[in-house]
Amino acid sequence: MLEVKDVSKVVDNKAILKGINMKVYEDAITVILGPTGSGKTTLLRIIAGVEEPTSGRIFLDGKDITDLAPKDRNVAIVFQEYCLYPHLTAYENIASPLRAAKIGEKEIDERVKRVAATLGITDILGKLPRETSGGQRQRIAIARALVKDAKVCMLDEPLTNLDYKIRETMREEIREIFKRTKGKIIIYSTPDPLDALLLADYTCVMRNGVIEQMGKNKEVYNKPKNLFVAKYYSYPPMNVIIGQIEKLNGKAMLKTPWFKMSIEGWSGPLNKDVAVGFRCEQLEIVPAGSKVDMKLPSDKLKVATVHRIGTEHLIQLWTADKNILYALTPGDVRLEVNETVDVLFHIDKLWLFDKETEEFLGRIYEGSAIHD
Amino acid sequence: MVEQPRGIRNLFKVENIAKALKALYLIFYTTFMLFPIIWMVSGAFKTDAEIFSKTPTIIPVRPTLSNFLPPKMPTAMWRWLTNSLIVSVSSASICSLIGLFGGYAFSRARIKKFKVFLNLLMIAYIFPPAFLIVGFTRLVNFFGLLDNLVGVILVYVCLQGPYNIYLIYSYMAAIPRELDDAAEIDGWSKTHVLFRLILPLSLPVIVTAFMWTFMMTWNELIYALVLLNSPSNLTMNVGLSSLQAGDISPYGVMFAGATVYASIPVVLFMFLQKYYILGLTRGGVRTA
Amino acid sequence: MTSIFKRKHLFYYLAIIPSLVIIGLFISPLILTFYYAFTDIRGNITLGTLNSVIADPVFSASYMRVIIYFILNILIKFLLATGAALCLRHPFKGRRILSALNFAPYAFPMIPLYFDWFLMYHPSWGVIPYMIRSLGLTPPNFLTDPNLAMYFVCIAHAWAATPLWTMIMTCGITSVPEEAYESAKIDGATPTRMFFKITIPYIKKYLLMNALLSCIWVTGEVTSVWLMTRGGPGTSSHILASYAYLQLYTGYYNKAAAMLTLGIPLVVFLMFLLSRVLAMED
Repeated sequence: MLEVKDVSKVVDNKAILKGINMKVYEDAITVILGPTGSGKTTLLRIIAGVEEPTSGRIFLDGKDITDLAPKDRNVAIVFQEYCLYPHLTAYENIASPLRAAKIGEKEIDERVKRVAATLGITDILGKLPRETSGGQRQRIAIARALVKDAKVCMLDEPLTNLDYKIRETMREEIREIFKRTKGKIIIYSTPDPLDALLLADYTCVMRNGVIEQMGKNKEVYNKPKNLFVAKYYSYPPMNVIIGQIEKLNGKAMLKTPWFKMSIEGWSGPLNKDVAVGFRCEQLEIVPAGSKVDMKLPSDKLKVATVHRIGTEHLIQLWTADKNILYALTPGDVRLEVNETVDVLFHIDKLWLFDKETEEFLGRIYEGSAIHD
Repeated sequence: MVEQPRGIRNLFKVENIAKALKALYLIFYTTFMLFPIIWMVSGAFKTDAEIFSKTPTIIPVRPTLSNFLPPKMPTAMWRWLTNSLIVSVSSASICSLIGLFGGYAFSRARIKKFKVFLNLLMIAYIFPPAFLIVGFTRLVNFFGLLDNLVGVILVYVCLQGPYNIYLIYSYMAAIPRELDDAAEIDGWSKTHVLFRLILPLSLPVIVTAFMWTFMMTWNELIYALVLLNSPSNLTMNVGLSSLQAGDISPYGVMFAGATVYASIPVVLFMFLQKYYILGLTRGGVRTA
Repeated sequence: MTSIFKRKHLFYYLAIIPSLVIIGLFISPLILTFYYAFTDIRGNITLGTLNSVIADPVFSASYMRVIIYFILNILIKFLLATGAALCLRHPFKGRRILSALNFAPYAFPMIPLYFDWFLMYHPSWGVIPYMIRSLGLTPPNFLTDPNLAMYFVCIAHAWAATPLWTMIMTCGITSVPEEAYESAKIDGATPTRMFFKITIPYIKKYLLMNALLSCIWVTGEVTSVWLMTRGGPGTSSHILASYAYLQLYTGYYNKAAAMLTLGIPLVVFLMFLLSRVLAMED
């Protein structure tokens, strides 16, 4: 287990990391999810040992490695820019850590060829980095990290520099490669929530140098601690509308411009403005001509944009108060910008957050508050 | 109205006048640039009679190789040539070495104090070397290195060093520091990073810095003139100027020596070009 | 600071030691020069050396002359080089060879070339007077006329550096983007107007920077004067540094130091101008 204890990093009076505490377990992929500038890369570099924390310690399997040189830390890292040695062939790049450890030539050859086979780059071993494509360079970088067989293997935004077409396949491959390793601590940093959704066993959401939430993947997804995590760790983004919780006839009532519902067993605050979140799958666009189910809250909204995602369309809709809501439609449904459509709100699952503090207040499932 | 033939109309078109002017200027310019050189080289093959004749010609009427051979060419000249070679190669090598270390440290260390020294380097580069000549000669005298090639080499290193460091530094600054990090994580020591990673990637600038220092010291006169005395210790420049004897100097011999002297840097550059190009084709720092 | 980073810093500090030594060794002669300027031959601290230098009419004349020298130097280089850069700008057959050939004066070692120019200027057997005479004109006394000597030395010196300036001007001119010219052509501007209204403003900072650098270096010029005239006839072609050099050469290093010390304000002034130019916006 890798433990980061109270790590802070201050540069030129700017705090890049503030009191980071995290435990990372082996035989799992831990995804650090955060927007650019949240400190992910700095954290990875500190763990690797190429950057110095202003305060805090790092422990690997109980041993304090903060004062150890990178080569003594048993870590490997794949940089965002790959950082391959331009004047060495792919083979030499991959062999580099083994040569530094003064391992014998025969063993080096064996290990390099083995790792190259895993990543499918055996045929380009003799080439220089500039003679290879972006995807190939990344594989070489990953091979270089894997060949060390280090306990901790970190990938810093591995998909960011790839063509979007290759991203999907590469993500799958990375999952395959790392799911097959045993006993390793794998840390993967990314600004893309989709990576976390598809790859993570554990998710750690960071913002502005602070960990907003960390835990098992499903937990962070279903029980976001605050509005930022809920909105960010969601693909497509979560829909958020503003409402109020009031007390009516001794019962808690949730009021929004579109619906009113009573909440059974609400133990949270009353008479508050709340932000109500629900997933975009819960916003249904009714095909023209069909009958609108009168039991569900509905509205007519104008289409703002239409994006194709895979086989579906992501639709952005304007609300009356210029808010954006997201909905998904199947690929064969064609919608035009500025078209007005009927939407249904499937409000069986709701997340409630304090509008001011953005803190998580509670989950509502079919009218009842859920207590975890 | 009679139609004028195309040719004459074209003659007066603005573009063609411009072209003609340009051609004229280039003829003038090239002549101006090359004439003295041609004069000198042809002078190397002239007899004294021709050099001092009242009707000089560009191509020697009776070309001769006598200027290149003894007895006309003083035996000391080969000595001078060797001395110049020793001085220039040594200065350039030492400067490049200092530049390698300094450039590496300046480009990698994120130490604030270093910025001050970087500015000092720039100022040292701009400052005209002649203003330091009194100081340096007294210093060299103090260390007992007058009339000694070592003294000259040391002074040249002090004069050219700053530029070398700055030049190599600016080039190395473009090599991403993350490469160093990757090497560190791989387990390489800092010395290894310098010599096996940064140096190969910096070959073009190191060759450039070497050639620059070499040329600067190859053409230098005033320091060598006051620092060196005995005929066998002189560098070529000083030696040639020692041959000067008022109006009637042995120009033929001087030009012959000069022709040989001028060809050495060319040979050197052709030899070093291999490393320069090697560094360029490898490097393309933007490939990782 | 943790130990690994201390060690990293140590390595950098070690690597920088030679550079610091060099910088130190660059500064100490400067301090020594000041010392010698304020002492006399016997080593007593006095203002006498400085006074005698200031009172020396040859010195003040040399000081004036070096300013004329570097201005003339720049003008010659600039004019010749601009012409060459403009003419060589657009590709034509043989352009590469021509450019390469024209680089020769800069590539050839200067010292023998100064002797070459001395020979070419010589009233009796110089080829330049010869060519002028064959045109039926009377050639001036290039290096033997006290009023003219310095100028012809300057011409020879500028000649050597012109190829470098052609390169500088070519770089500058080609750095102006095409679009600037295109819109001007549509407006019907002539090439001359385009040059002055577009090219020059664009590269003003670059040009001024290079010009000032050149001036700074030329204030320390000795070689050309020393080899071609030794400052003569008499002392009429001495420029600041060459006169100081004469003192040093003849053993009067205090006087030499004093002259150089008095020349430093000029250098500092030019460096100050340079810093202003560098601070100009692009």
